[in-house]
Amino acid sequence: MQADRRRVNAPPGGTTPPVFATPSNTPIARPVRSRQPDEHRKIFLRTGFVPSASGSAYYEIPPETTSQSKTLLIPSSSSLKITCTVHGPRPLPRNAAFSPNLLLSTHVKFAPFATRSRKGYVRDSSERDLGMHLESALRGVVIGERWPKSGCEVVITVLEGEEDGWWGDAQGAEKSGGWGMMGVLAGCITVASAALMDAGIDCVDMVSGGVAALASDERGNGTRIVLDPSPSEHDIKAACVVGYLQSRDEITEMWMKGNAGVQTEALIDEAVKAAVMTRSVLGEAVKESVELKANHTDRNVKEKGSANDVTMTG
Amino acid sequence: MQRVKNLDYDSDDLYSDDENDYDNDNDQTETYSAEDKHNFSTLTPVVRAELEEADVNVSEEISDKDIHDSLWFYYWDVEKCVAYLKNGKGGKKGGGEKVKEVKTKTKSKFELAAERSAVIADSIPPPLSAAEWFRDIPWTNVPLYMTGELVLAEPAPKKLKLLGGSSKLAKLAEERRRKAAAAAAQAPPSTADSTLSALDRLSKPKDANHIEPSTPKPEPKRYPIRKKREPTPPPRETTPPPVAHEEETLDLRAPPTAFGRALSMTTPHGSGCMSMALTDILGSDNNDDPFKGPSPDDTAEKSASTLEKKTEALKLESSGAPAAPQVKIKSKGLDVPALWTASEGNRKKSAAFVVIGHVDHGKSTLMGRLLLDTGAVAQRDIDRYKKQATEMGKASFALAWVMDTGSEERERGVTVDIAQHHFSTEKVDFTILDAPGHRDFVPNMIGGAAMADLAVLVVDANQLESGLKGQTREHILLARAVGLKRIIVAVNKLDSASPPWNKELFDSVSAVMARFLESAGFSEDDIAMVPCSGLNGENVVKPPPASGASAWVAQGQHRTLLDELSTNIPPPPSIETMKGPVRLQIADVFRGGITNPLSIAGRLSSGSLQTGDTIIIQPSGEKATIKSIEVNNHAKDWTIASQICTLHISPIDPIHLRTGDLLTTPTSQADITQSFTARLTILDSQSLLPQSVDLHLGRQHLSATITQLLAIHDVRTGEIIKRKPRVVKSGQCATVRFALNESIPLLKGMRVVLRSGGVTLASGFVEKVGI
Repeated sequence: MQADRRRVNAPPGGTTPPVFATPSNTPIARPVRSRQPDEHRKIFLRTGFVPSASGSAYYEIPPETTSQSKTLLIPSSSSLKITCTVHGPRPLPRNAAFSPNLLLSTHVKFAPFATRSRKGYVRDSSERDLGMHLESALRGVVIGERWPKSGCEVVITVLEGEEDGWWGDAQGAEKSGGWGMMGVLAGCITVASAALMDAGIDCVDMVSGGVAALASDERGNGTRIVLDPSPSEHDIKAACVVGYLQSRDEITEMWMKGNAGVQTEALIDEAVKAAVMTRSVLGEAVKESVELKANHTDRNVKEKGSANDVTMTG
Repeated sequence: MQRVKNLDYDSDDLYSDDENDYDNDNDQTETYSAEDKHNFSTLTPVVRAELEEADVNVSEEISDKDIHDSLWFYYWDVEKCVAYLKNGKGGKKGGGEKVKEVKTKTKSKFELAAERSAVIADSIPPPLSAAEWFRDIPWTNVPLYMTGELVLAEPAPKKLKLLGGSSKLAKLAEERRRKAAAAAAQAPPSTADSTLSALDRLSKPKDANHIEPSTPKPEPKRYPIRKKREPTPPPRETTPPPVAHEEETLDLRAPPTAFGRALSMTTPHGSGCMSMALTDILGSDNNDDPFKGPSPDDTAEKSASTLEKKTEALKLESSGAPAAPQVKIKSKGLDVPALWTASEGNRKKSAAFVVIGHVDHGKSTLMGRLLLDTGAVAQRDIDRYKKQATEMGKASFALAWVMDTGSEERERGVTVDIAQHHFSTEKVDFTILDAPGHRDFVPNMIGGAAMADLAVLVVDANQLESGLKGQTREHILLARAVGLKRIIVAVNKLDSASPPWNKELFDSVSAVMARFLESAGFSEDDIAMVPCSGLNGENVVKPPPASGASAWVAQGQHRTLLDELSTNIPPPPSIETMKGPVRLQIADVFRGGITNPLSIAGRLSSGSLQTGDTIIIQPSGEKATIKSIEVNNHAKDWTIASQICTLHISPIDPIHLRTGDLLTTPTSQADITQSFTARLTILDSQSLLPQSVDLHLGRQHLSATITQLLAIHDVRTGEIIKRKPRVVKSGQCATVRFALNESIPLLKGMRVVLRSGGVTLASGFVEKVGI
């Protein structure tokens, strides 16, 4: 079959992966959560990294350096890297039907190398599912009536996704499907919100994503609720993602997976708490970008100065 | 018994009203019934006992009568009776006295009013002296604390109401407003809590008092209600993040990873990368880099300036804004006629010739052969054309395709428009103007012939008759009409005669042609006959082989077509023509390329032009500047009369340029007119009446009307034979006045050709411009 020339394809022949020798006594242990249950990982968020897009943002949860990661080359826990670009609002194509408000479309795509199992170039069902969740999260904040006959595209590329489980737990990674998706969705909501702000699209509030999970307690037999779970560190029973508007106290999107039983409500509350924490970062990032923009325009105005003067001629 | 309230009374008379009732009752039932008395006797002690319990001194204050009255009044209700009596006595004056007063009274309203006025009169203080009266009036110096300020009271804004107060709608609206006002006034400040059932109160969370009091809770719910989160309350943190988190959230911002830094640490909104202009990449002159100036490689390649041209073009494109200051091309102020005469010695001669003839007599093929054999067209191109032509089933048209570039022309195998091509020999630069032979395209042929110095008439030796009936004849007449003096007759297709290269055939054809040309007005000296074959190329550039069927050609002193062309070059125009006013009829308007968005081509009939000259396009009158000049595909600084040139002009809208417009300079503009007089010669078997005709002025053709036939002249002497004829017959010479539908620039002496319905009627020249 003809290889696709438009893409960077894998080498035609098979390659042998490098094998790194480790001392036999190196313990390969499951990573342990070093944070408090109500402690969120740190987030890096910045807007405007794609100059050609109307709005863009980059979201990252840097990997935590633990003692174990120094002995092993493979990082014990994954990090999260998400980019988002917003194109629009721009006019709908001529053949599109009339729309009284902004048509929002979201695309979530994992880079082929984003997860441990390689992803295809075409969006699969899980990515489309994430896109639907993200769209419902954003639809609640965008004031669509202000742009009739327009469309807006939110394109998200996940450069590094959260792992679904611990890599060392071979069969565990197989069976525990999809916990990483929850963290990715929370990140997607936050980064898309920042990009929308950067694009200058009117919103009722900033929506931020938060995730909480019900995980079995390592110390006892019971379960406990943890904020911002890293799936490799926990044995997750149930998880919940929310898209939360803090100043309005509204939830635009909620996705729950697993069976939380009686703790469902507590789980949602914890997820909301996580979203509130994320929002502080989101607010800072937006503030930063606005300041930069303001400085930029100030400088431009100063530079142009008298060039803008208009002489009226009769 | 009167039970109807008298509405005339004030509301505070209500009490006395009751009293009146009571009074009346009393009057009428002065004697109680036995049952009543029994009730009195049983209830009075009870009332007394109650009053005693309430610490009221019964014996002193309240008589039995009072008790009876009150009992009667309250209809045996002991409780209310006690309350009444108690209140009455508590107020010291109370019920007893009141009742008494009532019993004695029936005071009239007038008496009451008099009493009231008496009370007021009592309160009036005694009269004061004047000094006392004005004691604290500060007559002029009013202290600050007493001064007031007059504030203009704004009239209350009118409430919007519906117009037409009598309408039903207005009434309804008014009613609704009234009801709303009443409801608002009635709305009791009752707490919602009171309406909540006990069960509700129990189930309410601790912050229930936060709920707005006006929240309607119509009836107690059967089940305890869970508190719902209000969707849009004022920002209230139902799940307030603990203070500890608040501090933590500030720490949540992480430094980026190396990847993140690389991705996002560029200045936002790409102030750096986006401003890179094309000139930065190409390296313009004004950037201050140490490698300023051309590199050694550049100097080496300087001769091949094509690249430089390209970059120049790109720069123009990139700075394509019309506001960009355009480089003003300055005229070098050359004395062009002087240059022309100075270059007399080392200059090649140049000539433009038009190829005319009947359709399918092989004009284009002959020219293709000429170009191929002179080396202007590569054999490779011809081979390619041959291949393509064979594919279309027209193998013999391959040479014609050199001239016929349009797809339609190639498909139909017929030349449509004037094709222009250059070639040069050792001595002469030639310009070929290949005219279409088909009669539908005669206007194009006229335009082409008007630009030429001499004509090459191509005649098919085998089809002389059809040619002479058709366009061969018409073309000869037209060539003469547009002022061509020299003509070369190429007797073509002699190779396909039977037998090939039949000398007799050539002689007979040339005799017929010579006779005809002379009758058309060409002198014998200006006619040359060339036997040739365009398809094979014999006697076109190279003489035919000395042996064979065509050997007689070389022996008979018949020169080749190229030789004939070279010897028949007309002399260059006189110096006066070169110094004359600039006259150029636009033959073509086209886009010359990226650098030259607008170019025009045409033959300069008089005057001279150089780069930087300001020109005027007539009749539109728009100005433009010459950016550059090309003559024979070579860039030149100037051009002079009789040259066919291409001018690249700059700031003008193409809508002002049409084929046939006249190009002049501001100092030497032509008259623009709608009417003119022309001296015409009528062709054979035609006649002229006052009618509408197609008028051809070189490349220009337009419809005109003959308004008046002024005079018929003698053909030889030019004397007037007859004034104001009704009709001008064939062969006659006449002065005719024309009216045009549009204004065009006209020059005296301009050649005109009249056609009507596809037939040429007459030809001549402009005698007088204007009426």
